[in-house]
Amino acid sequence: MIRFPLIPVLLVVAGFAAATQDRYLMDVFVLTCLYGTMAVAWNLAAGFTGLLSLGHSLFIGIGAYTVAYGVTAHGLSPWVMLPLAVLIAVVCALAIGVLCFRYGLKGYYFGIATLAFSEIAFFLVSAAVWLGRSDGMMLPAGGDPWISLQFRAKWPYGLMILVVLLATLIAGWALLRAKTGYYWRSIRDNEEAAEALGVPIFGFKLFSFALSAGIVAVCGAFYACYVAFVDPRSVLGVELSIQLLVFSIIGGMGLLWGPLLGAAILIPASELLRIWIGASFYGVNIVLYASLLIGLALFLPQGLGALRWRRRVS
Amino acid sequence: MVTFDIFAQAVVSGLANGAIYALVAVGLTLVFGVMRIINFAHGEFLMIAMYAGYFAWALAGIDPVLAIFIVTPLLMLIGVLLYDGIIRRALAAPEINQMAVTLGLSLLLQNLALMTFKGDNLLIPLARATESIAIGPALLQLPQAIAALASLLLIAALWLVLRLTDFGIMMRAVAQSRDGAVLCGIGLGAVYRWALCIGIGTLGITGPLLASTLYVNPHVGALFTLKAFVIVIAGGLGNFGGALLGALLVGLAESIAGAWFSASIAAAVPFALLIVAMLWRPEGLIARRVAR
Repeated sequence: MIRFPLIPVLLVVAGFAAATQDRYLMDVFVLTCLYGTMAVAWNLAAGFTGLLSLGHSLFIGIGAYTVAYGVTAHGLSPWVMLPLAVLIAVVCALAIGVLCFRYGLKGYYFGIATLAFSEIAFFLVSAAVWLGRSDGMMLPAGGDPWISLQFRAKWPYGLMILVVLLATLIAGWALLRAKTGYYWRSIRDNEEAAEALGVPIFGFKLFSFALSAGIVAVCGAFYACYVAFVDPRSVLGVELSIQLLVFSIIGGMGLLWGPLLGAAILIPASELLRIWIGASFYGVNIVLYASLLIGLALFLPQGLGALRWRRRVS
Repeated sequence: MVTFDIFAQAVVSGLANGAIYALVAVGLTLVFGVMRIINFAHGEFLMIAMYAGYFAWALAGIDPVLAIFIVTPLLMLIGVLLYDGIIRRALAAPEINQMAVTLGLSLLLQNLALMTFKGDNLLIPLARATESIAIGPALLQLPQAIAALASLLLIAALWLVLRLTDFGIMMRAVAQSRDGAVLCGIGLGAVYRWALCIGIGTLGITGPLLASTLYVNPHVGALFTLKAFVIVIAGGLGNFGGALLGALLVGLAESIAGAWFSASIAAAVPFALLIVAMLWRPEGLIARRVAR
């Protein structure tokens, strides 16, 4: 039974309230929520349906580039481009899903196929002149901030991503406790058995994958507005897809809010490390979190979020 | 305008690159074939081998071809340590955790290298790097020719070992059916340890040879890991002949696409090939169809 993630929700809201006074804290809050939302969405497909996508950066990139292109080339508001971005991402996810599921790609194979799709997008965008090639695109400032979504202050961004995160958590909770969630988990645990029992696996896999893609596209669109700059490396790279996996493994893939916990630990921690150690040792923070990842994957496969339950059982 | 000469040059360098890709992919396909684990850190071990080759040259003046004989045992040892330290524990974990472990290892090694060696590009500048062999209208650089030759020799040697020796039979038995092999009295641990030892060890040949044609930096391996995946999957996991064919195909396609389009588009070509190969022949390009 999936309980409503009340404590994580309250903590996130409290985090927002605590960070409103300080621009730097708000930046950390926004990044945590942004990557947390993407990881939670990734985990709906990967952790609950067993669709180990390694190409989610494709959908993040679609979100970010659709908004960036609409704003820079046509002066349109991100609000106009957002539905379009989600639509394109969902259509792409459906197309990739239909291809992969039709030909029965599972496990590693599905992961590598999605990785290949995102790499193709990465290289095509790097070559596309109208998308700024590998130099990327800068979003112009100005206009009414609530239309162009270019704020001087940080808190409006915090509020927006907070709403996206809460909506994702509530939608995820509602779906997981409904029939859909049980179908998803049955597909994850044993696809053949689920199919034999009459679960329409093709449709429910597509739904899970497309939903996950749609949510991360919203996050990508938000990223474009927040950073006001997109380039292939930051929104379409393999590293981004892998990051979602890292957050989920560390926080715990069996929990709806596990990936959010992973992001809430790693993002502030790497910010702190950067302050303590300084920029001279660039790789140190990644060395530490890679070691944490290996250790947890080997010795605590359920992730940090499962610690509480473990103690209660034993 | 693409003339015949340019096309011929693209074919020759494509095949030479393909042979080098095969040299990287053959270890990956061996490890996957036997252990059913995808090693995302494969390219990082290549990076280590390249640094080892570079320092053998820079500190002791050892020619890359001779450095093979030092670097290969080193990499084999690393393979054994990797098995006993990490992979052995990961084998019992679910697929996603295995993936996380090797991904973590890849990040770890890349950034350790970044801390130790900084991000500078290093290269072994050899006198023979400027020499080349004329093949019709096309030219092939000597270091590339050496690497291509080494690749063919290595694949032939591995194939012979797997076909003719008892040890090879044990490996193939484990690759075909893990449980069946155990029931026949084959010790899984030893076979796995050797598979990883040889799979990583092959990179000891590739690394020094590659360090004289390609800049070494901490991120060089990532480039090859992805291409090696493409090759290994297109060739059929665990299939050496398929890996060679896949590698030559990827090398050719990349280099011919590079002659017509921009470098970015050429870089996307292997991934398009991968998708086609996975959907069309998921069991590999030249795999025999198994009758059911």
